[in-house]
Amino acid sequence: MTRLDSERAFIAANFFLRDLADRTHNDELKVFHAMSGYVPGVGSGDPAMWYDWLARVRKVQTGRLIPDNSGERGALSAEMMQPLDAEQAYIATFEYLEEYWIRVNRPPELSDILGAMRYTPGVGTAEPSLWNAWLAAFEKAGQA
Amino acid sequence: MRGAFRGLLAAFVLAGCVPRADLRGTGGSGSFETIQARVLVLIASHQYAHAREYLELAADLTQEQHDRFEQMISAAERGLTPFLEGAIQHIFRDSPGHFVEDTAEARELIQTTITEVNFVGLREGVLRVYQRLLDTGVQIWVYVKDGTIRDGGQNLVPRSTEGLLKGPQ
Repeated sequence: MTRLDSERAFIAANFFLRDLADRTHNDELKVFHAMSGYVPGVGSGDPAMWYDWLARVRKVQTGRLIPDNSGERGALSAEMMQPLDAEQAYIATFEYLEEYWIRVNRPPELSDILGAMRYTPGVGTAEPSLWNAWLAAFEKAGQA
Repeated sequence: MRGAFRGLLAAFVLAGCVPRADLRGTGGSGSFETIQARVLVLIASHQYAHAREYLELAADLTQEQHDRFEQMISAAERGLTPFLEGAIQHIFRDSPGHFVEDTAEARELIQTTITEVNFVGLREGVLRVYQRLLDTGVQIWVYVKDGTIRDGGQNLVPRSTEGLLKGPQ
């Protein structure tokens, strides 16, 4: 089973979200992606969002979420995380976007996207095609 | 009967003549959310003097809250780019690259960074990026879309222009 470190998994999340934003012409998702966009050695556009991602990865792996706005997330690093399989990375991606959605007062455009992305283990995503799109993004990030 | 009506009318009229200063601290001006909504409506309709007047009447505001509202009115008067209200909790938070507190000073630093001189370029073709260096060496950065501030903060270690603009390949 392919696993990616948290940095590659974040790149997979960005591939997936950019593709989804382009296909759905969703302006709010484009804004989110532009802020989130990550470049190794540079960081995410909004510096905090890399740490928001790491907090979500940690939550998927340990069940414990370091609270938002606590000042503690900045202490996280990629080295503290275990590699993620495709399902773990997808759940982290969903929760990462969902947390932002809550923080910015639940814009309807992102509600629609989250509804389509919702994942049920053993069943897949609410919009079935999104799971294959995710797997493609995950594989692409692993090869990049 | 007529006398009673006159008395009632007089009471209403006099209630409207109570000096405004006497209304301070009565709690009658509403919750913080109500005050904020009212001030925002007045700002949106360019009634700045009215907004200030309303602010002076508002009860139970801390000095910090008062200063923040005053800055909002002043920023609107000066034609500065406004914050998207929904993005406020994303912009002001205890996380790397951000101002921890939503204060008048932090708002002023972010909003006054948005000038043509400080324009860096477009990020991902979606966000207009602005930055400036303060005398302290701190970098203020701002993302704007469709005339509102969507994100912004402070980098204690400044990023290069490329770092501010470069998106994933």
